[in-house]
Amino acid sequence: MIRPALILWIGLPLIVTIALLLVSYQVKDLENELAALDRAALAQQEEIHVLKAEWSFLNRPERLARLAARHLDLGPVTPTQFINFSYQPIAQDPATQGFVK
Amino acid sequence: MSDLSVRPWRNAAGEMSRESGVEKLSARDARRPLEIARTRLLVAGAIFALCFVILGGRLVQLSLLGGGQGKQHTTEHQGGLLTLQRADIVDRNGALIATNLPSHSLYVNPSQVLDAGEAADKISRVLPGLARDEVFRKASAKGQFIWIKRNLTPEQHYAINRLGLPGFGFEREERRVYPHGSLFVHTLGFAGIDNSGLAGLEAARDDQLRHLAKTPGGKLVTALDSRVQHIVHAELSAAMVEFKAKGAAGIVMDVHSGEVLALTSLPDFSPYEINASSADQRFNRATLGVYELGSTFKAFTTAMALEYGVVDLADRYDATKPLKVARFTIRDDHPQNRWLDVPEIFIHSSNIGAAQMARDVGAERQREFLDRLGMLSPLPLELAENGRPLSPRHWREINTMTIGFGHGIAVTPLHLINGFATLVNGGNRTTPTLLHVADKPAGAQTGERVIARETSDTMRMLMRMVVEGGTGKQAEAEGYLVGGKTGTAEKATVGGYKKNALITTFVGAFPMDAPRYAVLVMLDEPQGNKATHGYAGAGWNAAPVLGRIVAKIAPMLGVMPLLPSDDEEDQDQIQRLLVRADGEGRNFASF
Repeated sequence: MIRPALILWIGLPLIVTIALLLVSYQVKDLENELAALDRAALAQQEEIHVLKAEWSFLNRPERLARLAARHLDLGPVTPTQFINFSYQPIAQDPATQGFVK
Repeated sequence: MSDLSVRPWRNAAGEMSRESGVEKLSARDARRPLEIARTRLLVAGAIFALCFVILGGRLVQLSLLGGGQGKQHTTEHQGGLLTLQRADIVDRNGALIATNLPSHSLYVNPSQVLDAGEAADKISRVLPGLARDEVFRKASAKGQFIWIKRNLTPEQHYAINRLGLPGFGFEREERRVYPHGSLFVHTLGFAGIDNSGLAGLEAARDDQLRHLAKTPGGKLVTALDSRVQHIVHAELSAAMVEFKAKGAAGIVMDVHSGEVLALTSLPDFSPYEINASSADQRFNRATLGVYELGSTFKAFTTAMALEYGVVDLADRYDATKPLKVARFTIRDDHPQNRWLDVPEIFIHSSNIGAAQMARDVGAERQREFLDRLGMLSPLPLELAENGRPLSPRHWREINTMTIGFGHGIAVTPLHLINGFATLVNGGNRTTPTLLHVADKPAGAQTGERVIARETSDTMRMLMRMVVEGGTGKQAEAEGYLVGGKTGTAEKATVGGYKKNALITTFVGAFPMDAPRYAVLVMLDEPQGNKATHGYAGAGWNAAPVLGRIVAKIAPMLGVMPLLPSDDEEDQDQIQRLLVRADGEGRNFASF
């Protein structure tokens, strides 16, 4: 006669083993997924990094000046073009002997 | 042998005793083996229990407390951050000026190459810069690993991959890239193929750049401004052509924080073609070259004489004829042949007057003053190339007098602009730096005081007068109140000076009512041309270049222009502050 305890002691390891096996497969799958995501993230970061360098390359002041000269009717700002809210009649600042604008 | 002989005897004795008296066996004797067995069982049980407790404990530790290797395993995955061997360098506005880009390098394992000839044909077709014979030689050589070409472009990488040649492989590497090309080459320097800094900031801050690369988002923030750098570079390049100069240097510096916004030395070179550049191109004229910078030193002489109370502005010196000292004769380039007061000596750049002023201050005090301005020792700029000034070992009276007008002492242009920053910023010593200084509250000064505020104020006005009506008229940038000093010096050669080889300098600051930036322009052997009526002095070349630079950079740096307005009160204020220096009409009452 098979005692219930024996069934328990044989069945329990069996269940645990199967469960563990399943979990381990699941973990492996997740790890693969994680690694793939990591690789993708890394690739994206690298891409962003390269794009940043390209952005800086395209924004060279020398290039912008050249393009502006070719396509825009703009030149360096002259002092007469400045109008500023804070640009008021000059007041002497006794502390600095300078102007307070 | 003795053991064997004893044992049978014992056994025999035991059996004998059992045989002789079984009944005599006491209850205690009978229980003994049982007790021994039980004790052994207990010990064994305890050991096993202990083992299980340890195992259990470890299990709890690993699974519940999260210790051990498992956790590290996960962080390794979480840390999927891009790490490079060298940190980025950005300018003060965050624009990338140096970075590492991943690249692929082509190598060959000759033992796996099937047909070296065919491979060489195909590869030299994809990489036109590579000779076929060289590839063939490498592909048929002995060995396991030979570089074919380092740092391929993505297109080249793809093209070679498509050839599908056995024996050829790629190694992932990183390449230092300077998006602005040669613009910053004399400040940033460059890094070698193995990503170690070899010159400039890259060399001076090599360890820091490697260390920063390990922290996510780590980057070196410099004080440089790529816009300002571009303007200085472009204007100096144009000036080199216009005046047929051999070289040029330009610096823009914050007079309060000492931050260097732009630093250029021309001719320069591409950071990718270092081997193709000449020693002259690699030489940093702005920080490494030491020059006798001539009349610009009169600013220091004047400030020193005023600071020590040796002269006041109304004092006069005899400049009617050349000054004879021992076997030397000191002459003026723009002789006025009359007695000159202190501002006139400065504005007309009188050597005779400056020499006498320096003599009146004395050698010891002059040396101490220049030392406090940092003129006698190398500056701690974050570069591998910092020049050591040349000054006389024995500071005699004649040295004092020539140094009074900038001869007999050789400093780098950086020393000069740094000294000027101190003269105009209110009198506090500045230390030039290429690194961004965290924003300090306005007016906060940390440097040691070198000259009094009043002396600094006077110097600002004198410098402004040079531009308003003196040798530096062409440095004017309308609205930005440029002030400064010209310097035209003959180049020193063995045993004397070269007459036609000049170093012309204009160093100044703007806006002169409350200086924010100091600017320096130096030209190496400029020539006169039609536009300058053949003159090659600083007032004709360095000064107008500086004026053009200021007119362009001032609006970018947020300096508000100050234009003469119709308002009479305004005019009064400007008049009072900026003494007119148009010859007879000068008014010193306002000092």
